[in-house]
Amino acid sequence: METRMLNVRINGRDYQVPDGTTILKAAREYAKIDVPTLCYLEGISEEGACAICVVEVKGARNLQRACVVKVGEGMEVWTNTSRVREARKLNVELLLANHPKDCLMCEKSQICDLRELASELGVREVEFPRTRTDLLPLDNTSLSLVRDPNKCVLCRRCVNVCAKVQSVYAIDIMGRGSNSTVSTFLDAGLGNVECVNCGQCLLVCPTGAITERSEIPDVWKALGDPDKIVVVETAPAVRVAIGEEFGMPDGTQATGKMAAALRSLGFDKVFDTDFSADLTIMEEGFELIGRIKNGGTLPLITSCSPGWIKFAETFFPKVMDHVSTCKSPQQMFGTVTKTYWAEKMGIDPRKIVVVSVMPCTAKKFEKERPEMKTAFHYWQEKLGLKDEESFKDVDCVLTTREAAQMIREAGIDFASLPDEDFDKPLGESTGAAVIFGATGGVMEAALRTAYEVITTKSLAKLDFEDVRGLEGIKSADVDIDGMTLKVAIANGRGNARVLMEQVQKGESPYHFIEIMCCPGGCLGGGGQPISDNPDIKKRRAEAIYREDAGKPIRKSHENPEVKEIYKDFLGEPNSEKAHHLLHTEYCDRSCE
Amino acid sequence: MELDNVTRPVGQAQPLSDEDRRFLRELVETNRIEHHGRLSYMDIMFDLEHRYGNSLPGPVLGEVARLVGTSPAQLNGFVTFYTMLSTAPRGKHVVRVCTSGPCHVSGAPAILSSLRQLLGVGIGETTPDGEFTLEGSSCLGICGVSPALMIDDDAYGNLTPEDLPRILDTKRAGGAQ
Ligand code: SF4
Ligand code: SF4
Ligand code: SF4
Ligand code: FES
Ligand code: FES
Repeated sequence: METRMLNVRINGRDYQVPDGTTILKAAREYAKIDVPTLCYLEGISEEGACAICVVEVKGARNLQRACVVKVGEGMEVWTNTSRVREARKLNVELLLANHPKDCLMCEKSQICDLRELASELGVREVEFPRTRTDLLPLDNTSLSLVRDPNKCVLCRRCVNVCAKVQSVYAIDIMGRGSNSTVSTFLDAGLGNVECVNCGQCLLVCPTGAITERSEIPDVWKALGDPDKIVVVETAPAVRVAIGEEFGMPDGTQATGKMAAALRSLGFDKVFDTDFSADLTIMEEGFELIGRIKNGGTLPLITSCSPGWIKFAETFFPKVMDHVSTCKSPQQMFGTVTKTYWAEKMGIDPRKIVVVSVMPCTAKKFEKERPEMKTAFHYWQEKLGLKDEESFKDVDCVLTTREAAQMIREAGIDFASLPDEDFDKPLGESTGAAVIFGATGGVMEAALRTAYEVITTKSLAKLDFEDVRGLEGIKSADVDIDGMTLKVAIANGRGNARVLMEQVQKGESPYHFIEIMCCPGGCLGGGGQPISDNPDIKKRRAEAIYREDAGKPIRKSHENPEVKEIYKDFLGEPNSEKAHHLLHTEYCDRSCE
Repeated sequence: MELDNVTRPVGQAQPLSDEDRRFLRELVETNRIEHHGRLSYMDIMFDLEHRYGNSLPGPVLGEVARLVGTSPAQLNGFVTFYTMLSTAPRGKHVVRVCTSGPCHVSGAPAILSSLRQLLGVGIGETTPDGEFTLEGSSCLGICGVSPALMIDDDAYGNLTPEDLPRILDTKRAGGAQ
C-alpha cells in the first residue's frame, strides 16, 4: 500500500511528508531544520519525557513535543518563535535547578548534551531554587560503572536501552514526580543486581550521570613505580576507535599511533590482546572440532564477551555447558603474561602489572572474578606463596576513553605520532584476531582455522562474507569439505536471548554460535568513544576488515608466536596445561 | 563455584521458606484466574501487604517478579510509584492522614500535629511498639467529610483532634470503626 503523503508547513515553507512522520523527523529530514532534543533516541527511547523539543502548532493551545507528535494534514508548525525559545530555555532551567553544575570537573563535559543545550539556548542563570536539600548518594556498587543520580535528568534512555536492546531490565524509574530516580531493585545498586556491566546505558546517557569506574589513578601509580614491570595489551576494537578521541576521522586505523602513544606513557611493553585472540581461536577452534568429532554438547557458544557471560549465568544457567570453557582473550593474555612470558624472561610474576585497554566496561568486572587468578595458582607452589599474596591475572582495565584521557593528560599529540609496532612476543597477531572486534569476527576467525585443521587443505578464500555485517542475528551454512557446519551470530543481548531460548528448549539447529554482548560487537562496546555519528559502527567495522585484509598472516594457527607458545610451553591446543591455564568455569547466578 | 556478595543479584536471591514460595505461587495463580488470564499487580501487592505486615519484603518482591515474569527492577518501579505501598517495614496499622487542599483548609494540620503527639512519631515513622505507622497522603476521595484519614482500610471523616485517642484505642484493641 502507498503511504499517504501529508502537506505540512514548517516555519512558513511547505513540505510533503509520509503519513506517520513525527514533527521532529519532518523538521530534521525534510525541512533541514534542527529541533533540539534531549531524551529522544530514535527507535529506542521515544517517550517525550523532557519537553525540550517543543514547537508551536497552529491551532493547538499548548506547545507540542516534536519527537512524539505526528504530522497531521495541513499542519502548520513553527520551531523557533519566541514562545518556543522561552519554553525550551525554561525547561532546561528546570532541569538545572537541582543539577550539581559541576561542568568543570565532570567527565562528560566535552560531550554532555545538557551542557550543550544550556549553552545553545543561552541559559545564563537558573531562576529556580534548589528543591532537594541533600545530594543523593552515588551508586558505587558496580565494578564497572558509577551512577550519579544528581546528574540524571530522568530522560529514560538508559532504562530503555537496558530493557529493549540489552534485555536485562536491571534499572527503572523509582518513585514518582520530582522525587523519582533511576535505580535498581531495592536501590541495591548495579553491582548487586542482574546488570551485566555492558555500559550501553553509559553510551546513551546525555549527561554525566553514568561513568565508568575509573582506573586511571591506579595505572598512573603503577607506571610511576620503579619496581613494577607494567605491560599493556590492547583489544582489537580499540585501534579503530581511539582516533575519534583525537579528532581523527571516524574509522581511522590508528594501530601504530596507539602503540606509540602507549609507549610514550611509559609502559614497559606494549603488547596486543590480538595475540591472545589468536590463542583463543586455537583453544576454541579445537574445542569445537573436538565436540563435533566426539559427539559433545552442541551448539558450542563463544565466551569472549564478559557481559554476555554474566547474562548467560543469570538467565540461562542451565545451558552453561554449551558455552565454551575458553577464557576471554583479555584473561588469557593476563595468564600467559604472568606465566609463560614471566618464565621466559626470568621475571618475578609479582612484579608484573598487566593493564588492558578495552572497548568494554564489563572487562573491569571480568578481571575481578575470583577464579581469574590462574597465574597465582601456577606460581603458588613454585614460589611458596601464601594465600594472602594472591594476585590477579589482569590488574587494571582501562576503557578506550580512559586510555585516550591518559594520553591527553600526558600532553601527547596523538595524531602526529609516528606509527610504531607492538613489542614481541606477545604483540604478534593475525588478521583473524583483529576481526574479533566486529560481530561475526570470532566466528570467521574460528572458521578459518577449523576449516584448515579439519580438512588439512588451505582455504582458497579467507573471507566468510555471510557472517559479516551489523544485523542483530545472522546465520549461515558453511561447507567444510562436504560437511555442513551450521553457524549463527548474535550481537546485543535482546538477540542473544532469541538464540538462547532455542538452545534452552533443545531446538537449536546450529553447531556453533557467536554471541557478543554489545550491538555491533566489541566495536560498539560501552567503553568506546561516545559518537553522534549514526554510522559509527559501520565505519569502525570497515576499518577492522581493512586492517585484517592488510595483515600478512590472517589465520590464527599460522601466528608464529602462537606456534611457539604451544611448542615451548602449552603443548597441544586443549592439552591439560592449556586447560588449566586458558580455560575457566562458570557459576549459576539465578539462585533459583 | 561460590557466589560472592558482589556478584549475587539480590533480585533473585531469595531466602524464602517453602511455605512462602507456595503461598506466592498460589497467590499469583489465583490472581491470574480472577482476572481472566491477566494479572492485577495492585491486588497482588495488597494481598502481600496483608500477609507480610503492611510491607513488601525484598525477597518476596524478587520471587513475585519471577513468578509474574517481569524484572525485579520493573516491579520495584511499580511499587515505588504508589505511595500507599512500601518496601520498608511498617507497623501493624498504617494511619494515612490526608494533606491535600480541601482537608488542609478544614483542619488537617491540627489533626496531623495531634497524631504526632499521641503516637510520638513523625510522618513516615513507626511507633516503637510496632502498632502504628504515620503517613501523609494525597486526597483520599472523601473530601466531603474533610478533614479525613484512613487507618488500614477504614476511613474516618469530619475529624477533630479530640476524636483521635478513641479511634487509636479501638484500632489498638483490634476493632474497626
Ligand atoms: S552532566 Fe553535563 S551539565 Fe551536568 S555537570 Fe556534567 S557536564 Fe555539566
Ligand atoms: S550496564 Fe548494561 S546491563 Fe547494566 S544497567 Fe547499563 S545497560 Fe543495563
Ligand atoms: S542516567 Fe542518564 S540516561 Fe539514565 S535517565 Fe538519567 S540522564 Fe537519562
Ligand atoms: S526530546 Fe522530545 S520530549 Fe524529550
Ligand atoms: S482532600 Fe482530603 S480527602 Fe480529598
